[in-house]
Amino acid sequence: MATGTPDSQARFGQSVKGLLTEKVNACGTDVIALTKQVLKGSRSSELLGQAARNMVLQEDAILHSEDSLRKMAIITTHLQYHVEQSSDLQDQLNHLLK
Amino acid sequence: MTGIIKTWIKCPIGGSCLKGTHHHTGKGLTPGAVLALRRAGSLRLRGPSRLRQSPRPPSDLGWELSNPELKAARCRRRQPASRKERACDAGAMTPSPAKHRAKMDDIVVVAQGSQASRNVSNDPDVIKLQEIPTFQPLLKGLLSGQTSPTNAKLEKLDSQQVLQLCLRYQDHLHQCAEAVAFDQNALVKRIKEMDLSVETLFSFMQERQKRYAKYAEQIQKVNEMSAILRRIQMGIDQTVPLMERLNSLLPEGERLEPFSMKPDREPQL
Repeated sequence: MATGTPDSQARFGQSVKGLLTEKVNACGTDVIALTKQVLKGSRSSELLGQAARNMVLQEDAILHSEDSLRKMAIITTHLQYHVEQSSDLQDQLNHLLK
Repeated sequence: MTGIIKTWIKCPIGGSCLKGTHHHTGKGLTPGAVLALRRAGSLRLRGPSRLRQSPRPPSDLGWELSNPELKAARCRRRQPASRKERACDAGAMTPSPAKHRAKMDDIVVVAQGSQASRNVSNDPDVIKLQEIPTFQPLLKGLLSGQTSPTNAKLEKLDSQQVLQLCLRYQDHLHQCAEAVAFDQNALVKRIKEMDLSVETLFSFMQERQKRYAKYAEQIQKVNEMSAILRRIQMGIDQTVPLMERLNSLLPEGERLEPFSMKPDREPQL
């Protein structure tokens, strides 16, 4: 054990509860350090961060596409109107030319 | 004159008794007196005993000694655990006066104790105690006191196995992150493709809309022209009868030709 933490048998003047608490704290700190090292070693955060950055760069493209799609919807309504008009006019012309 | 010769002897506790019997009524017998009487010979008590009660629970109901053999048998029956009973077993008839108080023979049972619930295996508390499983304390070093091997051996994990575990977990995380990043990059590519296709479609539609707008405009012009022509036709239809009437009102020499709109004739001025 590290010299900073008392040995579990060296100071029996402390209560068993105190020893247990110290032991639990030491184990918790060790587990935290181990987990940090594992996460750093697996490089998962780097990969995921890079993927997120790429996604953010495409936001602009996504917005542009959405805009274009809205305009296309308007154009389709216009075209429908034109078609109706032209069919009416065609009927009238046929009637006139008879 | 025949009479029964009665032999009187001196009683150890005082007074005189007939030989062979010791009748003492109305007297409280101390254990010392009882011992003396026993030493002297057979002893029979009648009536309620007024001896001091021994603290140990006696096993006999009565307190009757009429035979030294019976007394020895009774001594053997009892638990030969104590020093006092061993003296009884040995058949020693001369315990010290200080110990006579503790003899089993002096014990008088007032009430029979109940022994049934005192057996070991019937007690529910004992059974519950026996059902508790064996367990180790949390800090094993404190169990044995100050010995050093327990300090080192019982609390550590195997480093190689822990290393393998951590490496496996790290590899797992790496693979998961790679899979997620791969899917995300595929999505980004698809978004770019979608963006391009949407742009081309939009441009097509814009072109078509412009063409159709031109066509619609031309058709509208045609429509207007046809309306104008109809109006003209109506006007002419209204005007020509009036012109004919006017022409008929004129004298014969100045009448004009009948009006017609046919283009192959020259217009009449």
